[in-house]
This record gives sequence, C-alpha cells and structure tokens, in this order.
Amino acid sequence: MRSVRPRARTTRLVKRELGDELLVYDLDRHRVHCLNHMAAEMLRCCDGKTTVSDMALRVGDVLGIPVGEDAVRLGLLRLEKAHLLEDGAFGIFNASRRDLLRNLSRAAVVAVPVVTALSVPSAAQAASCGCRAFTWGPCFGCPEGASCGWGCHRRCQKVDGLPGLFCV
Amino acid sequence: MDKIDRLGWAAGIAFKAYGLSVGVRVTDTSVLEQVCKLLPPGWTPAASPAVRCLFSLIVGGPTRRAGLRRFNILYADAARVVRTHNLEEALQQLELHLHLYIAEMAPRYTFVHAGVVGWKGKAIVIPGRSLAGKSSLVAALVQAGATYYSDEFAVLDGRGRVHPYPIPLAIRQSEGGAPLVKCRVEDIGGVAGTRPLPVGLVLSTRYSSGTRFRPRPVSAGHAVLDLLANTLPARRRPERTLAVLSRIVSHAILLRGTRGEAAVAAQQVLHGDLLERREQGNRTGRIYGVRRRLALT
Repeated sequence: MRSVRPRARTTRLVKRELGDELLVYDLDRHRVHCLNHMAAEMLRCCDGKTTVSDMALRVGDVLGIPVGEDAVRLGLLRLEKAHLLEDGAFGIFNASRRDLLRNLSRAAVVAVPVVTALSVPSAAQAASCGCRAFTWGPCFGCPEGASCGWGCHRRCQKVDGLPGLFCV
Repeated sequence: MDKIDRLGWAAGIAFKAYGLSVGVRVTDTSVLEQVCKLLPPGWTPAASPAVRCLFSLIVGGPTRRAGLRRFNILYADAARVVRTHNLEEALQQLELHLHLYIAEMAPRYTFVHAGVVGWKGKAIVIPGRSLAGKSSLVAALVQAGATYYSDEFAVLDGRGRVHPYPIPLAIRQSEGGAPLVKCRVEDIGGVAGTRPLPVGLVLSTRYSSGTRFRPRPVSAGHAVLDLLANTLPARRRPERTLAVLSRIVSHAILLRGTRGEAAVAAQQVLHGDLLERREQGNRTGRIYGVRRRLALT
C-alpha cells in the first residue's frame, strides 16, 4: 500500500487558485470542486511518483503541521471520489472513509482535506423557474407531486398558507 | 423553420441588448406594443434585421366558426416553446425566454441569478434560487435607502463590476410564497442605479421564519460555489465564469446565513457591523470546512 503513487487527472479540467483554496471544474461532469489548502496541496503532489508517506511529509511541510498518512489516505479517497485522480489509482485502500475519519479524530488532528462539490446548473435551472407557479401564481391544474411542466426540476406541491399548488 | 417563415407575419422588431441581436415577430400588430414592454432593460433597435435568435409568436383567439379557438403558439427559432389559449401566458413565456436567452448567451457579461443593490459606491449581491427571498430583501434594502440594481440578475462584466438590470420587482404577498405583484422601484420609494459598481458584499441567504440574522463569513472558494450555483452561462463558458467570479470574491466581503424578516436583515446589512467582520471572516473562512467536517464526525 505504501508504494501507491497516485496521479492527478489533467484533462478536461479547469483549475483556478483562490488564495489557499483550489477550484476545479470538471468539464465532463459539470461539477465544481472546492479543495481546501490541504486537499489542494495533496492534488499537487499527485504526480505519479510520490508515495503516500512522501506525500504526508511534503504536505506537512507546506502546511507547517504534522500530517499523518491516514489524513493523506482520506484526502486521496475524497479526490478519487471527485474523479480528480486517474482511474484505478486508488481503489486499493481497504480502510473505509469512516474508519479513516475515526482514526483521525482519535489522533486529534487539526487539519483534514476537504473537497466540497457542486453540480453546476444549466441556465434554465439557475434562472427563475419558467413555470407559472413561480412567476405569477398557482399552477394550472398540475397534479400534486407531478414534475413541473415548464422544464424545471421542481414538483408541484402545497405551500403552507397559500391556496393552490406551487412548484417547489 | 421554413414552415414558420411561410406564415403571415404582420409585425416584428429586431433589437440589441447586452451585445446580442434578437428578433421578435408576431402575427397580430396589436400585440407588438405589449411585446416591446417585455424586452430586456437597455435594449436598442437593431440597424440590421439579421438576428442571432428569432422568437415567433402566433397570436390565437376565436375563429369564425363558433366554438373554435386557435392556440397562441410561441417559437424560439424553430423550437416550440409554448402552445396555449391564454395570450398572457404566451407573453410571460416570451419574456422569460427572452431574458433567459440574453442571460445565457451575452458574450461580454456573466449573468448570476441574484438580487443586487448599490450602497455607498459598492454593490451588494444576493445570489439565490427562486423562493429564497431575494426580492423581499432587495425591496427592504431599497426601502432602507439602497439603490436598486436588479432583483433577477447580477450582470457582471470582465472587470468584476455589476451592471444594472432594473426590471420591475416581483414582490411576493408573503415571505417564501408566490409572487403576486410586479412593481416599479419608484413605487416603493426607491431609485434605480445607472452606473456599474464594484462588488462590496456577496450575501448568500434564504428566508426562514423566525430566524435571527447572523451571517457567517465563508471562504472565497465557498462563495464562488454559492455564486456558481446561480450562474446561467456557467456550463457554456466555465473558464470565463470562474475567472469573473474569482475576481469578485477576491475583493468582496463574503457572508452566508439564513435570515428572518427582510426589514430587520436590511437594517443589519446596511447599518450593522458586517463590514467590521471582514478580517474575522477571512481568518475563520480558511478553516471553515475543517471545523464543519470535524463536527460531523
């Protein structure tokens, strides 16, 4: 396990550094990942040559705090889950994310790699809903629980204190 | 498209807005006046009839045969958008799709679904989904003295400034409920801004009844995610969108939190100590995710 050398994915990604954080846009999945300082450093270390133990040392040097191998494994699992590592690089950890977190909490660590993901909406999803319910009043006789008929991804249902059905 | 072109078109208009040329044609000249009221703010008549997108509205209504009514049908280029007996509904859909098209395709601007007001030379941007309470907060901010910019889109240019998009406010009868009235900003005692402003505050908030408004600072990365979740051309132009949003958050105060009544929150935003929390916010924001994650375990 110690000889694993993860490699970061490089294609179809748009990266943007924001202070300590790193934003990564996955053009294939239209998902954006916000990596905190530790996760960003780990991703930079994923060059296909650095082992987990070396990575712990390098990330620890950059952050100025001791970083354990469990923290690195947790970060790699999160990066892999976010599809930011090359396929097949990290399916071999037999410890689960829950086990790693439990170990980390016992060790009273002060830093954990965090990857926050967002599914980027299409234009219609990001804008005000096109259905009549949102713009002017209750739906035109949509059955309760049905998908709104105007291309939005909401469902017609009752809203407290208001007559009729609304797409929420 | 040829089939649609062959129909008898009585009137039409070609206009430019936010760098795009768009056309609307109708089968009834009396409807064109109503159509002009639905066009995006700042539109100007186009010199050329060649447009990038053409909306075609077939106006229906009663026919000579008793008991027979023709549908109102709206097309965006060759795609049918709506088919209804209600002309008002067809016009609403025309307005919606016009604004949506401009917002997604405008070449030099990034449209974020957000409420915007101006305050002391800076813009306050409030991104959020429908029913988050944006319009209510914008109206309360305007009534508290802020300048109205938009309750629908924050129009961001390449320099990270917000341009006005002063469409009428859609005020809901109750917080979190459906919008029932559209009113001009002058009707609620406010004024609309005319000049672009740099962003001073990004406030991600939603209404929750009885909640005390205590916004917390967020990191720049999380603020970009909040904005990105409401950015219309994000999928179409991800690189440019990330660049513009990153530029904005690097200079602005970034807060997130649920709010109670809009008037109380507005007073807090404009006259509270939010600006003084900036330094604290930046420090806290750096470890925000870490704390949240540890708390969950």
